[in-house]
Amino acid sequence: MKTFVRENSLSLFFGGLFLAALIGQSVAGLAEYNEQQLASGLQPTSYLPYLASSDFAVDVAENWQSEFLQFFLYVTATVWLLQKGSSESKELDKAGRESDEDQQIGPHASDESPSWVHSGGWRLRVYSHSLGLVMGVIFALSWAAQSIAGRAAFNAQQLSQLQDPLGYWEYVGSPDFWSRTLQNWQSEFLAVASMAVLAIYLRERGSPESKPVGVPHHATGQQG
Amino acid sequence: VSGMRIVFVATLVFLAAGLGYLIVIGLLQR
Repeated sequence: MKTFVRENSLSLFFGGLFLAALIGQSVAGLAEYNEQQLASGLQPTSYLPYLASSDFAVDVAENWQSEFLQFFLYVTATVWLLQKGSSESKELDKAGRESDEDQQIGPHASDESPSWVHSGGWRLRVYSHSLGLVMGVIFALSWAAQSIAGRAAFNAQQLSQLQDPLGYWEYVGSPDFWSRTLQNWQSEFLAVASMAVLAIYLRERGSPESKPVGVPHHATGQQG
Repeated sequence: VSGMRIVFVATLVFLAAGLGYLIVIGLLQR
């Protein structure tokens, strides 16, 4: 048990933070929702119905999609794109898919390589992109969830104001959908760009996200 | 079963369940 906690502490820590933040979001979200309901002369709702509401779902989904888009783009863009001096970049001569030797596939696979590496063929091709694929699929599904729940929430508000509801594709072209989408994207892209650049000159001793403290600024692709 | 496999599978199951939940909620309230 002690070993399990230590060996998985990174995942357990962030999983715990996620659950605490999600519960906090649901409590604060319900309070905000009920303030608006009362201000509009409508009935307030209780906790469990709020958890099953499109208002809660769209707020969760819009943040999920942007995070998974960020990681999908980061995982795939860093195959090809570089930042000299950054621990977040590969070494400058490594851009691209790299050799079978670098990737330990084909004749360079070891006995301990994953089984789909030994299978070769389509399994190896799929497995070679499995991280990007899964991140991309989660992004697409959470963006779809945002659009579906967002439309339901938007239409509920429209109807309470005696205005016409929107069809699905009308909502996907609406300011509400793109405002929710882009306000999340901009913050992700700023943070990623800043991390790639700040990691050139700044250090965090012991962090694998940083270069070792004494490594020169021009060294690219080194991790502490 | 190793700890890292438990963490991996639990994460995938949670993500699938979470995404399913968010999609179904929206579909039920059209």
